[in-house]
Amino acid sequence: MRRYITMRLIALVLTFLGVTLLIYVLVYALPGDPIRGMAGDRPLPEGVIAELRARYHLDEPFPVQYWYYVQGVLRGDLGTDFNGRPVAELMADRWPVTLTLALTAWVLELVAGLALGVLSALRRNRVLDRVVMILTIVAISVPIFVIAYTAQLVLGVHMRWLPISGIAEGWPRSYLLPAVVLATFGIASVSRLVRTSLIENLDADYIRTARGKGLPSRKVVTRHALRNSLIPAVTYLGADLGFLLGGTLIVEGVFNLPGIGQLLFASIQQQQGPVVVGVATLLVLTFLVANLVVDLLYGVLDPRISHVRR
Amino acid sequence: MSAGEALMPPAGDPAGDETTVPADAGRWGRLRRSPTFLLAASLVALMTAVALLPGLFAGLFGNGDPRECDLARSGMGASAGHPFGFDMQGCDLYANVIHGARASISVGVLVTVASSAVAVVLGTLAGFYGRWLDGILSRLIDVFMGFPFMLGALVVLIAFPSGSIWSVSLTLTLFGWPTLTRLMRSTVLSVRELDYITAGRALGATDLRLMVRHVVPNAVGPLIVLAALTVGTVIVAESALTYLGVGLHAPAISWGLQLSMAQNDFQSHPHLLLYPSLFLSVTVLGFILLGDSLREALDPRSR
Amino acid sequence: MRPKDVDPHAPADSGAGGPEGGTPLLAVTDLSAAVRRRQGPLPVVRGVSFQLRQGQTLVLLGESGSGKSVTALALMDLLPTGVEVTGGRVEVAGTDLRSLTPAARRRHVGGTMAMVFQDSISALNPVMRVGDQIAEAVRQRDGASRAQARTRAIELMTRVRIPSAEQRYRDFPHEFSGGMRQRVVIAIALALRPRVLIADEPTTALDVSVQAQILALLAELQQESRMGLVLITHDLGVAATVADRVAVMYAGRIVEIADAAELFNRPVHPYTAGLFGSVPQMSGGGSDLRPIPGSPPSLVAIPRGCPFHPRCPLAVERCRVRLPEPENVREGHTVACHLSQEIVNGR
Repeated sequence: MRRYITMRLIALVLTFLGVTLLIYVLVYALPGDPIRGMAGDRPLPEGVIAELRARYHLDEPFPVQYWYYVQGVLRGDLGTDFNGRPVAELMADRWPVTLTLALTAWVLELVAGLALGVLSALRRNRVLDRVVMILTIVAISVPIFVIAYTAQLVLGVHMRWLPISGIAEGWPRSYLLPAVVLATFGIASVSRLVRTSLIENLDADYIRTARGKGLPSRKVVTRHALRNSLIPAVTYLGADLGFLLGGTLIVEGVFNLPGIGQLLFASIQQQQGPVVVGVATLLVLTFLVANLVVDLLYGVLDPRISHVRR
Repeated sequence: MSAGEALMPPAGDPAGDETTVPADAGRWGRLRRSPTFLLAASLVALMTAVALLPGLFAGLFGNGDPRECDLARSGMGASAGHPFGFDMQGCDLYANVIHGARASISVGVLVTVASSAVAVVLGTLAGFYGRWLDGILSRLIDVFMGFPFMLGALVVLIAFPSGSIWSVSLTLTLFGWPTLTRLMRSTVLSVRELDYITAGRALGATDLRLMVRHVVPNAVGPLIVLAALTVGTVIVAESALTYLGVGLHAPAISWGLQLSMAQNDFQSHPHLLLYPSLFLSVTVLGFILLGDSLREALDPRSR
Repeated sequence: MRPKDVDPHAPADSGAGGPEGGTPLLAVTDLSAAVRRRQGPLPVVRGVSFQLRQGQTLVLLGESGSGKSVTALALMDLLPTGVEVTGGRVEVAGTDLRSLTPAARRRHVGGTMAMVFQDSISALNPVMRVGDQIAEAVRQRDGASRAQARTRAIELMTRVRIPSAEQRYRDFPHEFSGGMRQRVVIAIALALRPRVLIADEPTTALDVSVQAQILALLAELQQESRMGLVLITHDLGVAATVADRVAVMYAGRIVEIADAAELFNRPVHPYTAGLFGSVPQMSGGGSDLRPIPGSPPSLVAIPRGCPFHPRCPLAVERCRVRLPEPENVREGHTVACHLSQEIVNGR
């Protein structure tokens, strides 16, 4: 077990270096000159430009710049934007918004996805199951921004149930609509995964053994079938936390939430390289750690995975 | 023995089993009878026809030119000859939506074909030879799958803006190949151990021949399923990137662009949102159902 | 012995033979089961009848697809979705299962019968400790406390000769060998203190040396508790080792049922004889070794008349048109073959 975790941590560090290098290359390749860009219409004296370049290490070759960045990350320092504000500070107000949004969506996926999946599987091929299956495949086919606009139009504008913009009303009211939109795809995927694997497990021989013991159906499902069926859903939900953070890019835009996605999008457009890299770094770290946690949890759910051998 | 097996014809019975239908015939038979597959195939065929011959479909109501615009008709609703009404520039929305199919489907198919090609080559090599080649490829895949797809595509497209179908496809391929390659690699790993591969090796077949004749044909099934699903995913991704303003640019005609332009006016003119998203969603639905029905046909266990 | 006219719907099997007399523990009468399909039900078990008494071992012998597993699952009320009982009676300890509500049926089955499956790896929940799986059965059957159930589970593991039972209690199924796993499955069955144990190909997935151990264990446990044992197998050797009575199944029907010695020494049905590698000749004795040509019919295409007629060396015209009803040829020996009298007399 310890050996496995060590191996996984090494792999995580390697992946992290690879991913950030990739992001760094991409951001480095962003067009335009950030220093001249921030100066606006008035041209800066060459001396000032040179000084700013030196301060942001822009005069150094690429590998050196990357090395400075890695050093910074190791110290917990994400650097400053070209206006001198620390990236961490820029993110401080915004992370809670994005995290609240993503976690609300995640819990919705977990609860609604599981419930729909279990119901469908237990009512296999009946009306409820067919309806859920059709709705989920439609939900998977419709792009998220279309769902966002439709939800805004129908639930917000016409029915006036929930606010359609901003976070003035706080959690949960301001977050509910965007979270539902963000979670739609995941709810559909989780319920399909749970349904398929629960149906497969309900036909398994060990369910016969359990039924043969005379256990009531409820116990057969909860104690035996469900736990075995959760494995694919857990894998999905783990990876999905990272994707949800990425999905906030669009949802925050539509619902005008001042989160990390908005910051990232604005920073890319304003060529604030350090901010892009900083935000991306945290997103990637969250993503990788979530995946690691899922892999370890996997071993708890499924003892056949060898790394939890005593 | 499970009851399910008990209901099967006696496969593997030494007395012979001439009553058993060959597996392939069974699959295709099942596929042809599957209503999901028929629906999916018709949707995909229809949308492909629209993408190939937009002029034919756009002209159905007599106003087939998507660029014939008149600002006086800006945002107007449906009228005779203009079943979907007009966009904010006063162009016929029906003609635009029909002409939008080509961009979306081209990107979807281009990306999927390119990613699948990479997946077949790299996945087969890594799965077949293993060792360092597999190690490097697997780490590389980890790196590409280490961050959200949208984020990567967004940054690349801002770094290299061109707004053409080709550049968008190239970018999406850059982030699309790892999923397909990982699948191909793991299928090849399991196929590699099959008896006839070992037998072929013992008979002195070259590696290339083994891979081309035996490994790839037997490992490509799951990849085809995922490829069909990928076309749908890519179409959605393209529209999202275009919507964010970094994908296709005008004067291209695409559903993503139409939706992007609709975002400020959809509250007063919902038809601007409705028709492009309807076509987009139905196309994606077609490819997803296609993948789903293929998977069911390939895997008799799933129901 | 003269043929008797038999009512086709009466229990064709008297349940003769075996160690003890008395009322049967398990009486199956004209049991039928079918797969539900759009084109109408597809029968997979057709008119199966037999009886089982305390301490008796009945072997259901047949090739795969002959309906023996479905019969077993029907007895246990464990048919998979889409397969259902379409007729007949299953009386367990005097109660007809089909007269009970599903919940009451589950309780009655759980309190009287238990099943051992062929594939022990899939018969056990992969993510639950084996000890807990046994203890769960103990608690369900006896309403024992957690601690009592645990103690009893360890006793049962010891009883089925799992070494160092206490340590292995916390192991997961994949950490056991095939033979040890099958012992766990047997321990779960024993925990239910069944009066009838149904074992569906319990040794097929095991190594030959382990097969003998498991069969010996089953026989020993049966001796000890006077259970009735229904053993399903396609293996003649297994049947010959343990059976008191043997029922031979073909295409969803019992074609011949008799006491083991009788059946092995004097098989009547051409299929049974064929299984034993000999075909009875109507004219005079003697038998030559010939495998049965052809293969068992697919359940979707069961031939008209006697389902065995396309492969039967003795088939005559009426075999092609009419399904033979079971008839007693001797006391306790029932055969479903148009030619049974000729075969018996011709020997």
